[in-house]
Amino acid sequence: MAGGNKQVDGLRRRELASYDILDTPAETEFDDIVRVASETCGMPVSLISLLDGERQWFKAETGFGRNETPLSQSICAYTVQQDDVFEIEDLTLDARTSDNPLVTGGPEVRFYAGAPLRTADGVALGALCVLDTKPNKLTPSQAFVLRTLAHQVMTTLELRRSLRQRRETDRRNTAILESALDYAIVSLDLAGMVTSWSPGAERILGWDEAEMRGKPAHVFFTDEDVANAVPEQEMASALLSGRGADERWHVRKDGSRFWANGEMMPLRDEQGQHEGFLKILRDRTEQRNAAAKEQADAAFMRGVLSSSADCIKVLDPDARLTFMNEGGLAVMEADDFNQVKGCDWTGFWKGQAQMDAKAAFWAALAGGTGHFQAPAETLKGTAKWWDVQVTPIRGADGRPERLLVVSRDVTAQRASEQRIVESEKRWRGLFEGMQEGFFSGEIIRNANGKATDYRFVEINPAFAAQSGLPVETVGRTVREAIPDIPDWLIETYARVVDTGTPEVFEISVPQLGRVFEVRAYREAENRFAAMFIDVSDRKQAETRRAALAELGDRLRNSDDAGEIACVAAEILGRTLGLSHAGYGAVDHDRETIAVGDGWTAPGIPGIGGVHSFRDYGSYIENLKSGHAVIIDDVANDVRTANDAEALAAIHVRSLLNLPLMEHGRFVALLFALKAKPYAWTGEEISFANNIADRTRAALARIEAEERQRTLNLELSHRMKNMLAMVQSIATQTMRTATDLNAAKDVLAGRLIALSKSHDLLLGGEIGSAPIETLIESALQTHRDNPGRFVLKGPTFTIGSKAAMSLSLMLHELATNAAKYGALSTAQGKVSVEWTLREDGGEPHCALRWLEQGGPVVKAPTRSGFGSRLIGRGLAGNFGGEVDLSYPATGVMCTIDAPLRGLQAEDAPATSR
Amino acid sequence: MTLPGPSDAPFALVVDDDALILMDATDILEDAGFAVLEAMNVAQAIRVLDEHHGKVQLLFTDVQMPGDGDGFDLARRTAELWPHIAIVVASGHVRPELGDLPDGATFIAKPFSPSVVRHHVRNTMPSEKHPESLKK
Repeated sequence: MAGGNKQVDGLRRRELASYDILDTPAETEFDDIVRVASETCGMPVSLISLLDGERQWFKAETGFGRNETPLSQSICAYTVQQDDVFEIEDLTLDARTSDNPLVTGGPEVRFYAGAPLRTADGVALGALCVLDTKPNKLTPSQAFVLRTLAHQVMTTLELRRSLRQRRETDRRNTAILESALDYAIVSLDLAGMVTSWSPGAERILGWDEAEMRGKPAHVFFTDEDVANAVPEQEMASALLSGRGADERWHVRKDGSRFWANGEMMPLRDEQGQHEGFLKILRDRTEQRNAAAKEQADAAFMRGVLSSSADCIKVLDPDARLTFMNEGGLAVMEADDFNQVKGCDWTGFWKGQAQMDAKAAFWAALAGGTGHFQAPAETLKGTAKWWDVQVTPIRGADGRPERLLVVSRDVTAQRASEQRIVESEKRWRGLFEGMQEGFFSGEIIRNANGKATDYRFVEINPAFAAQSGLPVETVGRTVREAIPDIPDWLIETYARVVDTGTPEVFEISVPQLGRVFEVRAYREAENRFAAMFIDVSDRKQAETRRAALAELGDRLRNSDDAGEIACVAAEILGRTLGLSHAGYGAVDHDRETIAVGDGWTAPGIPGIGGVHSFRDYGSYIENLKSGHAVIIDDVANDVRTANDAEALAAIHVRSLLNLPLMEHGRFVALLFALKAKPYAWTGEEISFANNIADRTRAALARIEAEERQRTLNLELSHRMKNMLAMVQSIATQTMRTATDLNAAKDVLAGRLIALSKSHDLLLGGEIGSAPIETLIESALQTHRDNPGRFVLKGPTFTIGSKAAMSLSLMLHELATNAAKYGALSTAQGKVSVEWTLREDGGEPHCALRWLEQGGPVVKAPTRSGFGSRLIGRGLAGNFGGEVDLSYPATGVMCTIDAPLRGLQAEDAPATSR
Repeated sequence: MTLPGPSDAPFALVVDDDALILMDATDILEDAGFAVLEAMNVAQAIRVLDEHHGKVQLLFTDVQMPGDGDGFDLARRTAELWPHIAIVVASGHVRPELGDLPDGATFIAKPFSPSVVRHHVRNTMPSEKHPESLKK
């Protein structure tokens, strides 16, 4: 606490006692002062503290709630030691106050400013102070106000005391004093000197009668008024008109000014002679201050109103505007209030908004509150949205006499709300319109916490379409909607919810023929969302790729044409989900197809057997010209509509037929059939074409391999025959040889003949040669001039078996002729003629060798190998009869053989 | 078909559809002392045997020939009907499998040389039936 000394304390206590103020009830004058101090300084607490021994007692307080504290808690105790306003900006930082309980606890006071309350004799009784709960600082003007108010406190105290003293000292004048206490009554002589001075004058003006008697009245006029001769004017005016009244500032003895209502009257003696003046003053300072305060309050209110961004209006009961704040004028884009003054407020609104405004107006006028939001334009035509509240302003009788309208510009807020609504709408549109199916669900668990089902919380139209579940399925559980839903699906979603880890999996919906990729993720506690992306096309493409790969593998490993057709049909049927598929041989002329095992969907009877294309429509025409036939619905296609029943009988409603052509002829068909109408896609057609191509390639490979095998067999067979023949020829030649050198030549000639015939055979179609070419070739070595040989006969081919024998025979004949016959002379000729004829229902060929122009022929004495060969051996190889004769004119040899024998192929036996 | 050779010589039937080989085989067997009959297919051979089986001691046949039946069929039928006839079967294309040849029959691969033919004929026929030249 502040240190003081006992002497000062004693003095203070005596002085205080003289004022008789301690522990008196609250008085308005003092209460007003603390309120003004508090408001002026903008601080919550203000006190008039009087120090009384070990306590400080508050004559008035605001914001503190107590009327005394121990002196130990008094900060005013420091103030009394000061001459002027004393302040501590932060009590927690000042050693004198930092441990004060008012600071450390309770109200947590942080700021103090006080002005000492000092008597005229300089004894400080206490202080007028303001307190704040935060560190602060007084402005100079606040300090001034505080100081002035402190003076006012003292003045009021003095006044109380002097009043009391007067009551006690001048009982005689009590009535006057009491009645005139508020009036200063002063009489003046004609010169304006004071002749009497009432106690009221003393109270109001400060001087006593003794001081003032004989003094001019100027002293209580302000210097300015004195300079302007106001006192003289008042007197003159009183003389002139009998009385003068005015209100002006006057000055007290202490120099303070006060506002007074003054009246000056002339005083007359009994004879009516003017002997002086009577001046009566009444202190009107309080009234004037109150008026000023009212003005200040009004200004404050205007300030508040003008600084508000809301449009604040006052309406009269006819809804006419009587006030609009500056902020309102700004937001309404009005230049000044006159522009709207007196206007019907409801006229600012249009349509429904006007109905709302009127309703709000009437509600408020009835004592309620009207509230609405509506659009209206400003005076300059800017469109805005308003949030409007209309409340009544009640008159003295409590009835609404005016209305307060507060309109807030919510255009921006409304726009952002609108944006949110639009954003929501856009997202909703996306959700509704997206191709991907989407639903969110809630896992349902049994008592053990195991997931047993889930409930649809939200589904979009795409999901509804994909799943076949109506949008109304929301709220139902999946088991209610799809009783046979597989458990794994529910378990998967539950796992996603439990672990929070998104999962991606595929699910196929066979009823729709679609495959979906599902992406599931946790949405919230026990909630998940799943998006369904239709990957059917991708899956189908994958399936087709895999099918082609499988086809490739299986065809590569197969050497059987029937198996290849089966494999192709199976893969085609399985992959495209057909009812039937197959690869069948076609008879172009008879327009039939032999359908083998093929492939048939389970549960449908097969269609094996020979079918006539014409039984099923006219599309065979397209197939025969090599065009694929693709019919989505046989009932609607002109080529099949008339035979749709026949097709229905074999479970065909849509078909895909790919013809295989060979040399312009339709030889085989790959077909894909479905029991239902079906729009074949380009991918499927291309897939079927691919299957067809690969099947054809595989069949062609088998055919080529088969031909190669046959050829190898043929070559091997012919080689063996050839070697056997060579061996026979060599053996025979050597057996009958008389001379080794001659035998060599003969053997060489025979082998050459054999070799030539073989060349010929290889040059023609497998194992055959034209007869003419064969004969010419055999005789070529002997053709020393063009006229040697005459060949004549129809053209036909000779088979390999007969060709070699015939060549060898001609060789032997020619060799003999060169040795002994027609070819041994220059003029000799040989004619070879052959004819065809019917014999016993079978074509025969007769060939005749006739020599002419040679030496006279003598029949040989013994039969050499050559003639044996000719005579009995070789012709037997083709079932021919040989007749060799030796007329003197030339050798003649006839060979008669069935054409069948001459053309027979020396094929290897296939039976073994 | 004429019956060649000395009257006391044993008869052989040579069957081959190839005239040159038929001639060759005939020459080899004639050199070995047989009187040789010829046929170019199974049917012809059966006709020859029907008529001359009493004299024929040896059947020398090819396997693959035009017409019904092959050399194996002929061999089995001959063994069944005329068991006294020794059988030699020759082929360049096929090898006998179990059951193709009757008991006692011999198979030789084509092409053959005279000595191979003589060797097998000698082993197949009982020696008392060998013609004079084969005994040498």
